[in-house]
This record gives sequence, C-alpha cells and structure tokens, in this order.
Amino acid sequence: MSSTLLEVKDLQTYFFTDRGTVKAVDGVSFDVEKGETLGIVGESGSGKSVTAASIMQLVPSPPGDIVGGEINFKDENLLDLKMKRIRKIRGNEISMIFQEPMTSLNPVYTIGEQISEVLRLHQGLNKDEALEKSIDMLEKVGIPSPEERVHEHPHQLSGGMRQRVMIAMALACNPELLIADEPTTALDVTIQAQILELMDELRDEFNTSIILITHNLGVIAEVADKVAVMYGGRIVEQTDTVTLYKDPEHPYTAGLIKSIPKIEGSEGKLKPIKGTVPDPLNFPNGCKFANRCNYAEEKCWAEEPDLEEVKPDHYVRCWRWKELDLKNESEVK
Amino acid sequence: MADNILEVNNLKKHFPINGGIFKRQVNSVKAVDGLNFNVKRGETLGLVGESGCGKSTTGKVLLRLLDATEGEVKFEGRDIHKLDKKDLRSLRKEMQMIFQDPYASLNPRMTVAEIVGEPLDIHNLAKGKEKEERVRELLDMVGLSSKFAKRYPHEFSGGQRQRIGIARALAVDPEVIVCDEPVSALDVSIQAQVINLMEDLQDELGLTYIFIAHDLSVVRHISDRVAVMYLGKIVELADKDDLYDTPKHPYTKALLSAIPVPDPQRQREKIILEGDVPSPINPPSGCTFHTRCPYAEDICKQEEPVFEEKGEDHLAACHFTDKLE
Repeated sequence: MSSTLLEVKDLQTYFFTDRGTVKAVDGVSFDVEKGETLGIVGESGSGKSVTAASIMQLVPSPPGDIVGGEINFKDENLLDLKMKRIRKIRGNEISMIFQEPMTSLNPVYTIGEQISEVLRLHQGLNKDEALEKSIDMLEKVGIPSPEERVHEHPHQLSGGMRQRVMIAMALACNPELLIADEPTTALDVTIQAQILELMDELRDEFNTSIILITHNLGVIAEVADKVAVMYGGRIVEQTDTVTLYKDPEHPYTAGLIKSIPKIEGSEGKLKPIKGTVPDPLNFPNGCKFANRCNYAEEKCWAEEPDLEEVKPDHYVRCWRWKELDLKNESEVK
Repeated sequence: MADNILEVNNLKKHFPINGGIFKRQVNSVKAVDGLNFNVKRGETLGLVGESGCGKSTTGKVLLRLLDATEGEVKFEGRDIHKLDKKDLRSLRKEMQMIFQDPYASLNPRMTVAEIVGEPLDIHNLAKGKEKEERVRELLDMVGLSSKFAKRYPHEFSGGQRQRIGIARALAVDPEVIVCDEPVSALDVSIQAQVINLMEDLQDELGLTYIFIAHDLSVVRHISDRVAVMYLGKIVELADKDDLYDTPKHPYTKALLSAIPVPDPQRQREKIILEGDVPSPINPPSGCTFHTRCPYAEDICKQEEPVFEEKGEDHLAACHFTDKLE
C-alpha cells in the first residue's frame, strides 16, 4: 500500500547513565499504514515504551536522547522539526493513551476542563464550544450521563471510566495516529473487553491508525493487523498477526506463545523461556536472545543476525530460522 | 468429608465506615459477605474475580491476618478465629501466604538468608548451622543458588524475588499456602517458570494451594477447582473443566468470553458486560449481579438466588441457570 502514515527508520534512543550507555531502542524500523493497527509486544525492558515515547518525543532528556534514525510522519521527519511544530502535532495529529489512567489525568481539574484544553489549544474553540464537544466525546466513548460527568474530577470515576476519558481526550482532535501504551493493563478483563471494542469501533469510524503496545499476546491477537516483537531494544520478528501466531520463526516469539497457559485448558506443564532478561548493560554480544535460546550456537554468541525478510512481509532476526522447526521444537525442519 | 483441610462457613468481613461528629459507624464495606466452601487436602482451589470482589480479603481472613466479622474458618476441624494468641502462632506454621508484589513484600534491609530464615527463628525450628543448612535447602528447592544467600532483595529480578517469597513461605513446612496473585506482576516468560515451580513443589511436598488471581487462563492451568467471586460472594464453584466448559452463572460466562485469546483466527461471541462493578457499600438488592446481567428479570432484583448444586459438584447462585445453555 502506498498510504503510509508513519515510517520509523533505524530509530536509536539511548540513555546515558553513570554505569554506561543503555541502548533502549537500537535500530528499530517499521511502517504504519492508514487505518492499520500495529501491535508491539515485548517484556519489560524490551524498549517498546521507549519506542512510543520517541515518536512523541517524550523521552526524558537527560539521560535519554534520540541519537539516530528518522520518524517520518506524512511528509515530515519529526526529528527535524522545531519544538513549536511538534507541540502542534502532539495531541492533535498524533496522540497517546498511557497505561495508568490514575496518574495521567490531572486530579485538580474536571474532566471537561481537561478535554476542553486540548480542543481550545489545537482547534481554537471557545469555552462553550469546547465543553459541548467534550460532552460529545464522552458520549462517544460510552460514558453514561456525560452532561453531569463532564463536571466531575478524576477521583470520582472508576479505572475503566478514567481510561475512557483518556481515550476521549486522545481522540478529541480526531488524530490520524493513536499510540496506546498498555491501555488495558491496569483494567479488569470485562472492562478491558469494553475498551478494546471501543478502540476498534473508533478506528472503523475515523480510520485512525493505531500503535498498540502491550505485553499481552491475547490483546494483540484480538486487535492488531500486524505485530512487531521486541527484545533487548530490537525488533526480532515482524509480520501479520495471523502468521505470527501460526508460524513464528523466531525462537523468542515461539517461546512467548508457548509459555502462556491456554484458556481451553492445556496439557501438562508450561514451557517457559529459560533464564531472565539480562541487565540492559549486559546483553550478549551476538544475538541478544542467545543466553535464553534453546537453539543458540557459537555463531549466535559471536555475531548478531540482521532482520531478514524470510517471506514477503515477514521479517526475522535469527541465524537459524531456516533450520529450526519451532512448532515441533526440533533443530531440523 | 474427612479429607477437607479447610472448611469455611458463612464467612463475612465488613469494614466499618465511620462518620458524623461522634464518628459512629454509619455504614460498612461488605468486602466478604457470606462465603461457604471447603478446600480438600492437596488440591489447588482457584479464586477468581475482578478487582474489588473481595478475593484478597478472603485470603487474608482465611489466615486470620484480618479478623472475620462473622462465620468460621476451620483448619482440620478447629475454628482459627476462636484460637488464642499462642495457638494461633502455632497454626501459622501450617498456613502461609505468598504475596502479589515481589517488590514490596520483602524487607529491603534484610539479606535473603535473613528473610528466609526469619520464620525458623520465630517458630524456634532451627538455629545456627542447622538453620544455615535449612536456608540453603530452601533456596535450592525454589531454584536459587545458595551463593545468593548474602544478597539483598534489590539485587534480584521480579521472578527471583517471587522465588524468595516462596522459599520464605515454605520455611515452616506448611500444609496450606494462600497465594495472592503470585504471578501477575511478572513478565510472561517468567510467569511460566514460577507456575511450574509451584506445581513441582506441590507434588513434592503435598501442599494445598488457595490460588487467588484475576488471570483466568493461569487459574485454569494450575487449579483443580475454581470459585468465581462477585461483590463479596461466591457465585459459582466447580471443577475447573466443568466451570470453563459449561459455566452455570452468567457472570462466569461473561468473564470467560471477555478474555483475549492469543489466536487471531478464533472467532468467538463476546459478551460485553455493561458498566462497572457496583459499590460493595450498598450492593444491589436480590442477586447482586442483576445490574449488569443480560438475563436479569424482576425476580433477580427481589430475591437473592440460593448457592446450590446445578450439576454434579457444580454449585452456582442464579435464578436462570437453564437459560444459559
């Protein structure tokens, strides 16, 4: 497709700490088409949230800094723009939903004031118009009696309601790209289902592109069109959602899928990935996953593989993808 | 039955709300409101529900970390809420707890050896060389190298800390362990390691687990039987396969359908519940679930359904179980 909305190219975001340089995001590239949902999965420390923060240019600096790459949004490289222009884009054309609805709303302002702020700033509405639009938005995200709720403060709402308010705020200016960083992690499953359905509906209605960041493979399976799996600041596998779950080619992806218990009941023991994610300063020199991989060879320790296109639109960063039969856990195909 | 290690009868825990100028009790939060169930020796009973349903409070009342407002918890026939201090202390050897947050439940100023060894001191189980030996044995059991014994909690990852918490619980050689969301703070790949460890320990030591969690897939994996809680009450209790395959309560059904499944090709009918869990201060009349239930009729608002057998060893509290199929 030619309608690429966002193109991230070789993004590098490093954190300079007293102990050394942490390469939180190290050469990440992906595209997001119009109306498409890209899922980014990974465990803590994989760099998925820093990727999102880099697009929004919300990386705390110091210690963090975007040291290389391009973030092309429509025709502009966001990294070349002045802060003034970024502020115009942020919250207007690209907006973000955060994980903690409790801490990302301002406790001293009413919900209406917080949604209105965005509208008045970006769309130049006056106070009354903005309030009216805020009520509209609250209604759209399914908040009952929005005329009354709009005058309430965040503490008067439940977690699910607050997350809806966050979404209403993020969508108020009808952004072209919505970045959702673990939007449902703090919520109960029944509320999570409501929020995911809401995001899906809104995408259908406004043709918004979404980047959904989560550690929950179930959530990704449900809403994403394509998925990037991150480990140690790098994308290790990227393809469409169906292929990823059916035919993972990277041992890490396969391991993740196998380590979650199935709701239909599972046979016998779970198969965890061995070991833990190393300290960010102590990743192996070769393949970042080598120390936890059941199939690591000498080469894997010595040299890092490139992200290789193994089938059309299916990218894998593994030396041994050709030989391994991950489905049957065997070293020969 | 003879093989019930725990019997819970009409257990209630209400937290008072005081107000007015004399700080009199004006109302109460009915966190746990009349539970009846048994736990069999050697089984894992899963306890699931959304936040605020009272599952963690239940765990604490079972161990008498909180006093019950009403009702009894019998451990091998003795009501633990009637024991005096001395007997209660010796009972603590039999019942232990593993907590959710591996970051907050370990004292940052104590070394691993001190943390794991503390229960041994308190209960006078081992001293000196013997204690050191036992600590090493416990660390070994949970898969930690004994060279970690002199380190502090901050030097460990989440999964390793949870292992320390498990070793501490095992130190006194308990019969029952209440596990309150033991894996929900851990990364997916680590979660599976800890679950496997807990299963191995159960086989080895014949432990009985009460496993509190909100992740229904994990609960199905580890439990033998599962109880579903809603607003302080158990609404359904059955063998795990019965409960997941043929739920008899609309809440269980909705809860199960809401879980995102890691299989993009599977099409399922989702029941999206409307609204939030009502406040446990003023729970709805009749069946407390009627405000969100797609099957609710007038009788549900007026009459509380009885928690009764709807199938073999399959208990549920609903007026319209038949309609579910």
